[in-house]
Parts: sequence; C-alpha cells; structure tokens
Amino acid sequence: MQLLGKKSLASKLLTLVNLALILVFIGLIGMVIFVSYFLLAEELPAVASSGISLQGPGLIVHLESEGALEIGYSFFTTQLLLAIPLILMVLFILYKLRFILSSLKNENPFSPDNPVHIRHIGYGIIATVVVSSIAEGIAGYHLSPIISEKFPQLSWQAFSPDLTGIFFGLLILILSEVFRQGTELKKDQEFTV
Amino acid sequence: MPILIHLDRVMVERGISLTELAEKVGITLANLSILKNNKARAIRLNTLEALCRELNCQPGDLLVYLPNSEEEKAKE
Repeated sequence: MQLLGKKSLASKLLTLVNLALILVFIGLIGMVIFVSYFLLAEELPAVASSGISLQGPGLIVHLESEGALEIGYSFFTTQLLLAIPLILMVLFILYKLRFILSSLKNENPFSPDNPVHIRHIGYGIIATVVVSSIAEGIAGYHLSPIISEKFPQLSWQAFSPDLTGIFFGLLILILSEVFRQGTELKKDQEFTV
Repeated sequence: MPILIHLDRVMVERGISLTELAEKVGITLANLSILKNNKARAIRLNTLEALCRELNCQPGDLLVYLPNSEEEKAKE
C-alpha cells in the first residue's frame, strides 16, 4: 500500500478529514443554535429521565428508576456550554491534521510547517482532554446526589480524569520536537553543496 | 552565519561565469547559486577542492570568517 503521494493512504485520509471538518463545522453551527435556543427559551423544557445508562467497554447497563430522575437545568446548561469549546477544539485538531495530510499527499513530509502543526495538535489534544474532564467532573457533581438517592446500592466513581489522553498529548508534543529536528537535518542536507 | 563565501568576487577576478564554473566543478547551477548567495549551510571538501582547482585559488580566498556584528555591517 502506498502511504505518501497522490492516490495514497494519506490522500484518502485527507478526503476523510475534509469531510469530517465540514460535518463538525455544521455540528458546531447546530450546537450554537441549539444552545442559544435553550438559554433564551422563556419556558425551560422539563428535564427528566426514567433511568440511567452505564457504559463500559463491551457493555452497556441500563438501570430503570421507580420514579423519574429530576435533573437540574444548570447541569444541561454547563454541559452544553462546554460542548462548544470541545467542538471548536476538534475542529482545530482536524484543521491542523489537514495541513499535515496535505503535505504527505504532496510527498513533502518534512515541510517546515509540519512540526508546528504537530505541536498544535498535541496542545489541542491536551486541551480537549482537560475540558472534557471538567465537563465529566461537573456532570458527576450534579448527578451523584440524584443517583445516590435513587440507587443507594450502586457504588460508583464520580470523576476520573483521562490520563491516557494527556499522555498521548504529551507524546505528540515530544514527537513534534523530534520532527522539528528531522526538518532541520533535511534543510542542512538540502543546503549542503 | 559568520562564514561568508566570496565566490562572486573570485569569479569576477578570474573572469568566469556561473554556468561555466558549475560545469567545470560538476555541481548544478542551483547549488552554485546557493553557495554564491551565502545560503549554504555546509560545503563538502570535494566541492571546495574542485572550486579551488578551477578558480586556481586557496580555500582562504573563498571563505572568510566574520563575527556577527561585522557580518551585519558587510550585508548592509
């Protein structure tokens, strides 16, 4: 399989990333409209659920409660407001990824801009993980009293930050520096007469 | 870089063109231009040897070391 150049894997991934960029952008506009409507609505929608779903790798457990679970309006407001920066960060990462894949398609992997784009992706991943951890923490804070009341036999952890995501973000930052040094070596080679 | 290459001056003194020198030395015109315009980051010893042979000069006639401040003045 050809990895670099036209009609290569990089080229196909670039098409996918372009498509994802358009979809995420449409999703962002939809989310902004929805949040605006939600925040500006004079009569707030009633927020209730008949149970909770617990999702793990390969398993989804749905627990039905006897009465409806009343979930506060502030929970949804903060979650929706945090969704916008998260979508923006995903857009930013896809946008930077597009530049890298484009240079791979043009068979120029050691483009001087690529280390900067890779570093930005690293920062983007770390920021995404931090914001999503904050969103999960807030969700846990709001939901824990409700769930403890309805399901007293259930033992659970309200907040667990995604350390794997932070690890990969940091790893990408290190790789960007390795790539920068590679780019410098290529420049040295090009300007050796 | 504080190392400057006075290739253009030596070429004028010897009355040789860039194309002619590139052919004689056996490097591309693009690479010789990089050298002449002080854009080169490194020079191979065999390239330097060929240049000295064709221009009938010493490496010191082509290369000069200028500390940064003097280099800036030279560029001005």
